Amino acid sequence: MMQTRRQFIKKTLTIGGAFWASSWLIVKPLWAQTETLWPTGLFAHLKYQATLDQITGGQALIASKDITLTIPRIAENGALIPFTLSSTIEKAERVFVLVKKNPVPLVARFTLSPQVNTQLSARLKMAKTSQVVSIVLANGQYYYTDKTVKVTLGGCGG
Amino acid sequence: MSSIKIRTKRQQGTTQIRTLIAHPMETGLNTDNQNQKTIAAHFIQTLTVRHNDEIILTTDMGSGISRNPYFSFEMKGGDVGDKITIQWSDNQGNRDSQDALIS
Repeated sequence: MMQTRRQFIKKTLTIGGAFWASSWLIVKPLWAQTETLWPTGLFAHLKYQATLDQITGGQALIASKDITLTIPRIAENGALIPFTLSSTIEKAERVFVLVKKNPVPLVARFTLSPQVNTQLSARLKMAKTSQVVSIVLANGQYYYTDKTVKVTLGGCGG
Repeated sequence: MSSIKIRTKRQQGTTQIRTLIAHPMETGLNTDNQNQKTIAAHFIQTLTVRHNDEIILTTDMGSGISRNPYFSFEMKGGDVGDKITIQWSDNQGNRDSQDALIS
């Protein structure tokens, strides 16, 4: 079939446009996924107990010796405190790190796939001397361990 | 220049993934010394780690993570040439992503 140059351009644009639109529709939800996941309520300026209740839904925490939280006992600078958390609890789904006396108690929430070991390191900020609590969610139970860190210079402003 | 640096290290049966991200992580509680105004909160909210395009770990964080965040994770397995992708997005709508191959 013979087609004029005008028809050809028109066709190309329509097909190309359809492709572009469909690819955009597929790609969009993937980006949106990472945006909607962030739990605003958990990271609100709340008291430690209120944040904890949101995490566990009122369920009691179980003290566990299987979680090791490595963090300095005395921190000179509250703006940068390295910590390492490791646990031998099987099938850990989530790991929470909280600082009791921070304006926002929850520092981070890690969501682990079975491909990842519970062996995490990061650096956190502390406003003042406080307990650092790490919670591991596995099999519907919340296990925790805590350590007190003495801060000689705060790192959360104010 | 990407804001993300990734280092991988293969160990016995596991792969250690370390990352360093350039980000101010402002809490929104600090004041600017020059004009006494509050510095707006600016922090990473979500960080995802992918192994060959499959999400293996997600981290949701507040401003309690230190400036220029450093993270270290441990993945089971991992072969030479596997792709590790790290992506972050912050509360001001910025985002960045970086790939690295396990060596």
